[in-house]
Amino acid sequence: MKYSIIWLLVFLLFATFSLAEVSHYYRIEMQYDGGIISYSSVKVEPFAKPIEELGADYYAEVIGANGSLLSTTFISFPNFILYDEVDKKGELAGGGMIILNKSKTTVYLPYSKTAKEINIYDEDINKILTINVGELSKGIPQKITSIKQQRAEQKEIKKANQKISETNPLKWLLVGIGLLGLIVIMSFVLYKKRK
Amino acid sequence: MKKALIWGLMLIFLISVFSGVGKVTQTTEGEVVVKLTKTYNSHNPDSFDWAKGNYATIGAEAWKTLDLNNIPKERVNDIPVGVIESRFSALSSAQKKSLSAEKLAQGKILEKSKDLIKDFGKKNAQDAIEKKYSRRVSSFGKGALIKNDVLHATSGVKGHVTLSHPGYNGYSFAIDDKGNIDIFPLNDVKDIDVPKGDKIIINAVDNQLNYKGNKIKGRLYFDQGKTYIVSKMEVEINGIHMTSWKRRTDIYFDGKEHSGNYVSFGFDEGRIITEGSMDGKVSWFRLRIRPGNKFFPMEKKDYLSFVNCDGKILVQARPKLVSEVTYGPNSKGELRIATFNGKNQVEAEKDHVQFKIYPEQETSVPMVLHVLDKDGNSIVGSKNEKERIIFDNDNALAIVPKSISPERLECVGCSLKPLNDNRVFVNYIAARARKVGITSYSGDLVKMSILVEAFKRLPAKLKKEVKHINIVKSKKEWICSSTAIGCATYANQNIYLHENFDLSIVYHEAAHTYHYAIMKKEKKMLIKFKKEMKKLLFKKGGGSLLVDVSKNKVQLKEPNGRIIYLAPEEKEKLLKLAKANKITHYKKSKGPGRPRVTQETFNSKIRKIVGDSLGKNLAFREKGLPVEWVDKKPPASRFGCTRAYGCNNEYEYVATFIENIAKGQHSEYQELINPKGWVYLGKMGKPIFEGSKIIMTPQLAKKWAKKYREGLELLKEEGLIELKDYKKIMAG
Repeated sequence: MKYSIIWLLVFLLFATFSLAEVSHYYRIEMQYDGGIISYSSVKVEPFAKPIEELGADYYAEVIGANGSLLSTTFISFPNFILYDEVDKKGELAGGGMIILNKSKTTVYLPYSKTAKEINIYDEDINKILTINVGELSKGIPQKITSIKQQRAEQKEIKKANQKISETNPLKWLLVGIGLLGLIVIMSFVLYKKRK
Repeated sequence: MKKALIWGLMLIFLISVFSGVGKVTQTTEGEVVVKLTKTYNSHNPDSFDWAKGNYATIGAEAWKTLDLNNIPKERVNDIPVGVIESRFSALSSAQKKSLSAEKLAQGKILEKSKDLIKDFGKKNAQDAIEKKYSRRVSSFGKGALIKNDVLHATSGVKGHVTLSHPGYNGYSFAIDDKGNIDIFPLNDVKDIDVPKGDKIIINAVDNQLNYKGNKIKGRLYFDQGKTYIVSKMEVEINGIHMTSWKRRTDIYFDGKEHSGNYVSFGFDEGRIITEGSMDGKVSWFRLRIRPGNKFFPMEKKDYLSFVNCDGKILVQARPKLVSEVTYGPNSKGELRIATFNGKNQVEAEKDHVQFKIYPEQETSVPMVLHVLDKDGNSIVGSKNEKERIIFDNDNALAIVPKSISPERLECVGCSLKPLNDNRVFVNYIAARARKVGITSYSGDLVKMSILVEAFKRLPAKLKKEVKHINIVKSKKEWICSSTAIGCATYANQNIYLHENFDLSIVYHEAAHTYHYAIMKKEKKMLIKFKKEMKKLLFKKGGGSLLVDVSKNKVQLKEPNGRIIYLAPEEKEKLLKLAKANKITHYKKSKGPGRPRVTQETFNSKIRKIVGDSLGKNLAFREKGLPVEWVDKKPPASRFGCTRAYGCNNEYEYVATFIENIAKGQHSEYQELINPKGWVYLGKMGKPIFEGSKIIMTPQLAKKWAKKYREGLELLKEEGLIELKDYKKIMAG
């Protein structure tokens, strides 16, 4: 009986941990062509940690079935690069700007089960694109239920790139609290058993 | 009477016999002629025939007093050596010059002269020295003399050399106009030994020499038992080439520590120690390692040198391992040393290390470098670990923790490539990257170990905005211009670095990403404000709206032009919202047109500071941004910009400031914010650049200094410069 409680606690701890980690996002493949914005696909994907918003030039509003505003995310297209050159002595000696008329980007917006559409606005608050996401609101698609598989893919990419990602301190805090809790419970059980 | 006549005749006879001077006779014309004699008569010295007489007949006592001017120059060599020595000053210039080399070589005649050339002429002096000492002196500079067998230059640095020293057998000497005495080997002479008191220069520019068992090539100075090199001179000892700028550096061969500016070779112990100090003026000492040295395995294409401005360098050869080099502060606690190894330039200055790339150079030399502070702690890497910089022979270098043993990476012929798969190293880099604020990175981990050093020097806020760093090796992944060394992307705030990046480019690109972040923040503010205004117009049925922060005015009108009443608190709220979003003016006229909005952005503030100088006065460049001022001349800092490149646009304006401050060049700005700084004083009353109609005046200096002050203030406000750096500049 006591062992069952311990195992249950362990299970609950890790289940909570896993649930707390995953957030779902709309993954939208978008194109920019001379000021015209379009999209080619929309998917829903889970992510281990929140995706940072780095855009600023346009904004996307996720609209609920009842017309309510669910979230606003700013987006930008990768069409501006500043580059620098060096001379033979290794000193910075030149450079310029690359301004692209065409570019592609992947936009991540917070997923909502109740979302109806996504509206994209330009900087003058003109609606320039509407993406219907009602279909995706029926539930998280089958493909993305395999979190394990997603994680494995992400790990592989990370390994290939030798990417060093910042450790989420909250994650380790939770693990620490969990382990501490586990030790306390186990100690308590063992103490009772000896008695 | 007869008796008296006899005595008289006798006297005449005796006089004629003993005088040696010609007889006094009377010529047919009636003149009185003294007949000269060949024998010197001390009672009648005038009768001696100085031209043809027998000088041997002149007694020692007579030589002491006789008038030496009587002796014609053709006969000066008949003067006894002792007489010349004792009465040298009584000889005329012509007489001295007529002394033969053979004569001069005798006794101490040469030593009587205060100027050998003036007294004896160059050739005679040369020949005399050669005869006496078997030494050839090819030139005497501005003057020379000999005292106690020592040849002294009488002008300039007054070099002196012991002519009789057997160690100089087979050498010739030359005195230059500065009073230096160079000694040159003749024929096949190989060894040289210098007496303690001599002040000479071993000149082995054309021939290599052995000094104390060391191979010398170049000019090596000696004085008072010390060996040294002086400014602009060079010498190579056993494959270690040395040169100096505005400083004398003493050279020792005991491998021990000394004081002052010195280099100490302990060839047997496999050690070199060098210490130096600038003492307030720019000076340095350079060790360039060449093939054939005993410390580093060198090939022809390799390049390795150490430039010591301030500090101490210890080179230690190790069995089976590559040599270990340690930098530390000098006795005054100062550190400024640069290493040039292949394409890499590593500069240790005060409390930090800069890494640069010199694309022109060839290949590097394997070695290990420690950079220590005054307490012996490593300046590179983290404080907890005693890290070292390891160079391989292929221009790669890495900062490696102590936990990775030397046997794995510091062995002769080892490569740094295995580091990428070394778990200890991977974990170390990951930990250090996190510590310095790098959140995401891809590329070679060996390069990464250098990259983290750059991040140590950047403000925390700035680092946070660099979202990912790509060190790119393949062309496929390169998204910057083909000629670029690095770039910063706007949308995702990534930095792309060519694998030959140096720290300057990291600072520069990081500044761009933060600049993007500031712009994005302001853009979001603008959009949010516009959105709010649109909502308000819709809600109130407005046709036009005006928000003027400077006039504290808000006016909302219906499409027909009638004013819509807004409560004072509503107006206040709107003005507050505008201010919070940096909006100074908003005007939406009736109809479908876009609103006209003025926002006080970071970029607009820069433009306000620099005035209309951005993009002006720059030299034309076919492709890309100009890098020079129109006159292509110094000073680099003008119009409020750090350098010409920084005056291209707001991005480069910011990045050039950040780059310089991260490099620790605070003093430049200390000068620039001071209207009485050398930057302005040097140009005072003159055109600000060649061909310019603008003259530097105290007023203009004040204006420019204000621009720099305001620029730094703005960068500090935005978090691009940390408070400690700002204070350091302002305190100057």
